[in-house]
Amino acid sequence: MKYIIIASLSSLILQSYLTTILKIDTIFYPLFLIVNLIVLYKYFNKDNLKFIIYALTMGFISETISSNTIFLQPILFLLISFIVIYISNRIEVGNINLFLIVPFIITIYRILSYFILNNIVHISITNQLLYQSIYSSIVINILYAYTLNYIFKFISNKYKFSMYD
Amino acid sequence: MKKIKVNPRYLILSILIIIVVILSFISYAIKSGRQLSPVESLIKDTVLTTQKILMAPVNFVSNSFKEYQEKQDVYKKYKELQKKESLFDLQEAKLKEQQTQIEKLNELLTLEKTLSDYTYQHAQTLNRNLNYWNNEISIDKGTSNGIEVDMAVITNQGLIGKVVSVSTFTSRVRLLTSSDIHNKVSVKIKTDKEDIYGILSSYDKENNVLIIEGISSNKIIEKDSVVVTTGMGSIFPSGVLVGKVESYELDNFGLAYIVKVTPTVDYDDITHVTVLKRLK
Repeated sequence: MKYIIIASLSSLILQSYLTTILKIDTIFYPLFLIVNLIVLYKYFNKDNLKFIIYALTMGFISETISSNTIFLQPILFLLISFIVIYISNRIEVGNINLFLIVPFIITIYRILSYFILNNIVHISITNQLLYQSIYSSIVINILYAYTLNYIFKFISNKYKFSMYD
Repeated sequence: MKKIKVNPRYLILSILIIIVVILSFISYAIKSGRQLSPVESLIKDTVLTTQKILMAPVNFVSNSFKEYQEKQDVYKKYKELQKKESLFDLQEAKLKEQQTQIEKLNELLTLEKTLSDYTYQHAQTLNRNLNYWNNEISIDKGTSNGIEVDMAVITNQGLIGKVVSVSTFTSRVRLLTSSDIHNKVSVKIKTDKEDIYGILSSYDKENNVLIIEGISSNKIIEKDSVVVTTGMGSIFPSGVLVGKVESYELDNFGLAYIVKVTPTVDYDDITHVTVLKRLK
């Protein structure tokens, strides 16, 4: 579990820092905490409850650091965690399909966020902004997903223990 | 163990009520400008301060590299400055004369402070906000540095927004590009003949222009005129650069102009800012 916590905190700080040094309109918009949910689920050994608590906690921290809306990020993280559980129970998330799953989850995250902000809170966000937010987030997050996946695989193989312990 | 039977209708109804309550909370929190609770404030300060410390070596290397690149252009800039220097003395004398005149006029009007009097607080950007679609940033100065809600924030290129919430060591700044209806700014277009007053009401992301409304159709607007704040409304001090007039057109009723202004600030690339505190 400590590796998951270290990875999550590192992702959080890296994501926060990169948003300031990378131009937003480029294709490098980091959503590393969402990527964490996708890559790290298998290291929870199918303990769905703990994974959901983890997702909610990450959502809450993300909310506190980058926003002030109380529930929006925790709800989004919770919904994403359900989708990740559903996908992971049907196919093995790994090197072969990460480049498809990451864009899929990011698209859902952005659409849900767009839907809530546009229709419920009435913050006007154009469709073009939505498309831009999706395609700008894909490249860097796929790269990060593969890196994180590789690091966790390497550590678990080398030290021969479950990450969850 | 005895199983509790729940009527599916009640279950769906309960879930719907919970969703509505949560969404109402989100809506309220965004619209009301809720301040952070002590726990939230502590978490935010801890993470962002840790980030600042951990990223200090990275920033140092990055800044050193930038500095090196700038040094390569020093000779070219020196030559350009030499040309400008000849005009400098003339403008300095003119400025001094105008300064003296302003002081005399202020004495006549017994004004102790003008709408453009403010103190500065420099800050560094810590992150950008996801929820507001990147229209908010966090900076590394908070209440411990005298930052308060509603203070104006600028860069060396012009106005960027205002402080919307503060914690002990950090603050959140909502940018002018935000679609927040409470984020309107009183501005004036400085033409050769007169100052034309209007309200900066929204931002067009596709064309990267700020929109000014409320200008009577009998005014004569000139393209490339400078747009600055008026100082009215007690948040933004007067004379802060906003942008330049790109184009203008009559509204649907033909009664007022809608003016498109190219911002002088690159809102996608904000790393250092200055918070302005107007003197009370």
